Amino acid sequence: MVLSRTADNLFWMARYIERAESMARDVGRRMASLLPDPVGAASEWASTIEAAGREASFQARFDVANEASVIRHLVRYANNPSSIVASLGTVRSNARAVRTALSADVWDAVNSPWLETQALRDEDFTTEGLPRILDWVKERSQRFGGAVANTMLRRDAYWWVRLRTLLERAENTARLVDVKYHVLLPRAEGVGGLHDDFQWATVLRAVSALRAEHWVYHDRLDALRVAELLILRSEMPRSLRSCTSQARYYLWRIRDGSPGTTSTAFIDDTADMAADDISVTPFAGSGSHQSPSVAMALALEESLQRTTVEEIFAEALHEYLTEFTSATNEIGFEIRREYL
Amino acid sequence: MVLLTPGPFISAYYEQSFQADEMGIELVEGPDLMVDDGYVHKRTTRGLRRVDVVYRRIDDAFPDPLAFRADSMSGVPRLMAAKSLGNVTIVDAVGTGIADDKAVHRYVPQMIRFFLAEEPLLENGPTWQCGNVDDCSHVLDRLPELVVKDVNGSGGYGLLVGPHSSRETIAEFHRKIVSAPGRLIAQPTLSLSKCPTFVESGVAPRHVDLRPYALCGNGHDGNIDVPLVPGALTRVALPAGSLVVNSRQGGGTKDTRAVDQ
Repeated sequence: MVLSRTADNLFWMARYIERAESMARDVGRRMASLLPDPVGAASEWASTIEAAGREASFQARFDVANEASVIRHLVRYANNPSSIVASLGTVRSNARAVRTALSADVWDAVNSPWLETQALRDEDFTTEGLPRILDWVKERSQRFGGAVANTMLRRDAYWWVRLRTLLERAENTARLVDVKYHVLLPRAEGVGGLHDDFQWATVLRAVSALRAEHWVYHDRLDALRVAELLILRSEMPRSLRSCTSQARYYLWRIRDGSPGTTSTAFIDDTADMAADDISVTPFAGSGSHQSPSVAMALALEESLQRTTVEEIFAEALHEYLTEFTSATNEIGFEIRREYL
Repeated sequence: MVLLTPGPFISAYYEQSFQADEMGIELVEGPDLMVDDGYVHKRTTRGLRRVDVVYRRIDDAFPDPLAFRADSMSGVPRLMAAKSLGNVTIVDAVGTGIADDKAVHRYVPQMIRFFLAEEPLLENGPTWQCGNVDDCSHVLDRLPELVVKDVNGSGGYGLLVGPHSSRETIAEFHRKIVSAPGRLIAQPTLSLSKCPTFVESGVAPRHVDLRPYALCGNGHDGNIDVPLVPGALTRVALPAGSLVVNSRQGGGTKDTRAVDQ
């Protein structure tokens, strides 16, 4: 049990560091695909803005989506709450309000990147400087994850951090897949072309999954396989299914509230790696872990287990992903109603 | 038990979160608490939980907007009502702030003689209360040597350190004393001890002062008991030569331990 405000601050902290990382990954994806682009560079940059769900705030400031304006808006602009610089500030101020709930290592992992953002200069935001900054953001976010995993007590504060990280990660993966699908492949006959291979490869690289794809499928890239990997494969740590299963697990822990046993502490650690192995509740039969948010997360998880990628494509990928995102949003609202 | 803080935006926040950490208690802000049916509760992810002891680190005027300043955002409505019902103990009870009134300094030896019929064991720092006519003329004569403080002042604001001040500042305090003598006290400029301190240029001597902690409450025998905590807080003035140690003036802290009685 933690103060509701503490849970709320931990929620924001975890959400925004995850958001900074996925923003860095997505902007990095775009930087990496700076090859002569038959579709036109503008649509690429527009898709980056769209993946970030920031069209409205972007259009209010800029006419044209190009490298300079997108970098300013998504990386640097302090008034865009989702920009990397603003996110790291939000992370830090939320962490500061709950310092006593964090280990010293976790605090340091959120405080030092914020201090480092204060020292950034104009040249860090140029085509040459940016890749270094994006790597730095990813590295800092992973250091945060490492500090959380290695030093936090397996109690409420930890569960709240993990829960929000996973929900945010699921939403980010969904957005990334969605944008690549409906922005870049509006025409059915385009599926499978060389250009698409290249596009999908950049998507996979954005979530560090290109190698995973080769290991899982031993085959040429195609939209179906990529979508399956990022949506349905439980061994893929950023897939919707994996994130949903793990999030549901931490919701259970929060609901149950007991410090648990050595074996649950072990599952807490390994939940990241094997969502499948935790599909059985460690609190079987008690019923105390049931709540509307848990039920919603379970329903979402079960639908991800049942569905095949062929069914998703037959129904329309974009609609599927939109439904997924609104389901995770609903879970977020329900968590808020139950606990915060 | 909880530690009630005004929040992360004040200079003592780090210290408060450190204290809460060391004590293993929750650091709460006013909105985290509520009073229901005369009892204090904290809002948690598992609903309301009873709170028995509140260690108060917010100013005297702010703990309860219904009892004191109505614009208090950091307080808890009806906290004082719960306190009068005996349902919560407030450490640093409301009203202890009277000891912060610097005019009290002058009368401490008299209070000891009056209430305890004893002679003070420790000498009091000489204090002149400018509201007293004799004291006042003495102070005005020797202003450049003295430290002058506002009786309601805290945080190292609005004070004069005579030997370190310009003629203009001294003249300004002269005017202040003449216009509102009751609001000011004066003391000799004490030569505070120095302690090796890590500063930007390396290790250097800086002035320090000691803040002991005295707890006041009912002892086991039911009589009032005032034990001293076997440890204390040392404040250090970080600018070279400064005698002002308050955290709001950039002062730091040092760990302090009593090694022998």
